[in-house]
Amino acid sequence: MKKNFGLGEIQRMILGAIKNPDQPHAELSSVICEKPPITSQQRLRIYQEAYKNRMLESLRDDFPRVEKILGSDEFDKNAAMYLESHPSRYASLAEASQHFPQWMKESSDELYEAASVDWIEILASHQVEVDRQNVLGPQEIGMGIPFVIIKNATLFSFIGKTDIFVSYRSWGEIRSRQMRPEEFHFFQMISGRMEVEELAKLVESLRMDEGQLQNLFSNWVRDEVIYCKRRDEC
Amino acid sequence: MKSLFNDLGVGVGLRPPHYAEIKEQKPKSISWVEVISENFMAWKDSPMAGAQENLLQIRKDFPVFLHGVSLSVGSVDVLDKNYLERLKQLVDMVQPAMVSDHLCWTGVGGENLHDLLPIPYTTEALNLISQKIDQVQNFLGRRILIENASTYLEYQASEMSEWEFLSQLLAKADCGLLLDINNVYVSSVNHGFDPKTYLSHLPIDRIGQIHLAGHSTMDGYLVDTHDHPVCESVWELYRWWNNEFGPVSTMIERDGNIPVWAELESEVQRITEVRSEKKLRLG
Ligand SMILES: [Fe+2]
Repeated sequence: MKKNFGLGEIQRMILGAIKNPDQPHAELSSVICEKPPITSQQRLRIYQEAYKNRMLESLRDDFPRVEKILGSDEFDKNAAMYLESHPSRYASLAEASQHFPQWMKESSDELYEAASVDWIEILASHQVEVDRQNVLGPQEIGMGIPFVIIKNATLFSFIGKTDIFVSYRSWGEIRSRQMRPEEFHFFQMISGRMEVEELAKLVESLRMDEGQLQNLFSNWVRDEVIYCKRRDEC
Repeated sequence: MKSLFNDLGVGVGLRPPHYAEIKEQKPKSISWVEVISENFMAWKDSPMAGAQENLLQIRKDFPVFLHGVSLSVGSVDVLDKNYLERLKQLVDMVQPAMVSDHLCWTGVGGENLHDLLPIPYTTEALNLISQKIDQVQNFLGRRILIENASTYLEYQASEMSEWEFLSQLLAKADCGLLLDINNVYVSSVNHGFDPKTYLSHLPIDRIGQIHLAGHSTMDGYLVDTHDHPVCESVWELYRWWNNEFGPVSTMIERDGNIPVWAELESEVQRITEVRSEKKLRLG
């Protein structure tokens, strides 16, 4: 007998069936039309498969380091459990991934770290790079040209148990590297945009070795962790 | 009957692999681009500034159509205020030529399954959806387009056909239709109706945009995968449509197995060819 379900009832039943494809959903026999060329079960299956594939694929794309550690099957099992405990309440698939690192923490520090580095790469990929006009090359630094220091604003960091990871954008590419704690500490002390005199004061207060500092600085400029721009044309 | 929308020519669904070429070459084959709104909408931990900057650069050379996938006008949930605010920010920033989403629901109870789920064609749904579209249009301060989605199941509760539902909805909500001819074709095979019957029953004056896309052929049904070129049956329907009703802003959607720009461009150029057939005849 045809039963007239309301829109809300239908949606809750369909949502439940899509999320739980392994359970029987006899109630849907009076919801979905039975009409060739395929059965109502097959019709529902199309949505169930699409949901599972879409969500798993999105998590796999976002967390390649975790998949590499776990292997595909184990990753999918974990991802399915994550989706069960953290169903998406977001407009975009990217947002739906955001709790995955924290969730992985319950499994192991190694997985948490891998997921967190994957995640800061995603955040870095969404940011705007500095306008490169008047950016000084590493060889031009220290040639008496007054400059200001601009931190790469696309940089995101993750402080792991033993290591510190940073990810940032440079020429549209995502770069990730580890930083030693003292290097990271120094980086954090630099404000978003700093005059070279302020930097000199900071260096003095930190009592850093000048040679070591120069080395660090030119590496950062080369790798675009920071930019130096001509002060007069800035 | 005069259309509510201008014909803006031929466009393409802009995807990241083609950003550089579109920005640098500014191809003459397209007059506008469509992007997925959610990929540019700011969210809590990420203002999406990089993506937005890219879009604004392209916006200098091409009108942009914003096409959403998470408005969920078909859901019994109330509209997500936060989503609408973020969409409005993007609309204000981009000043798009068109704003669209789908005739579907994507979740209920606050959840999002990130799929375009089918609705039953009932009076209850018609009233609810027209009300929600009205709210969206008031909030955005502009008319939006609603796209017919591909569907794989139909509900016993339905009281009318999809085209009857759409026609009533467009009038009741005073919105436009983004007509996806591939979706009509996919659903026609999956549910056994004549696609031309569907297409001839739509209010022409409310059609603001046309989507063409490819699908996958499965065992006994079709799936709207956007990972193939547009098939000949869909081109045939488009040609028929164009000859019957005249040109409407039309584009190709491609989301999987994305080919190099030159290959996609040749498909886009085919739209121009089909559109010019009618002009030639009239000329
Ligand atoms: Fe479409």
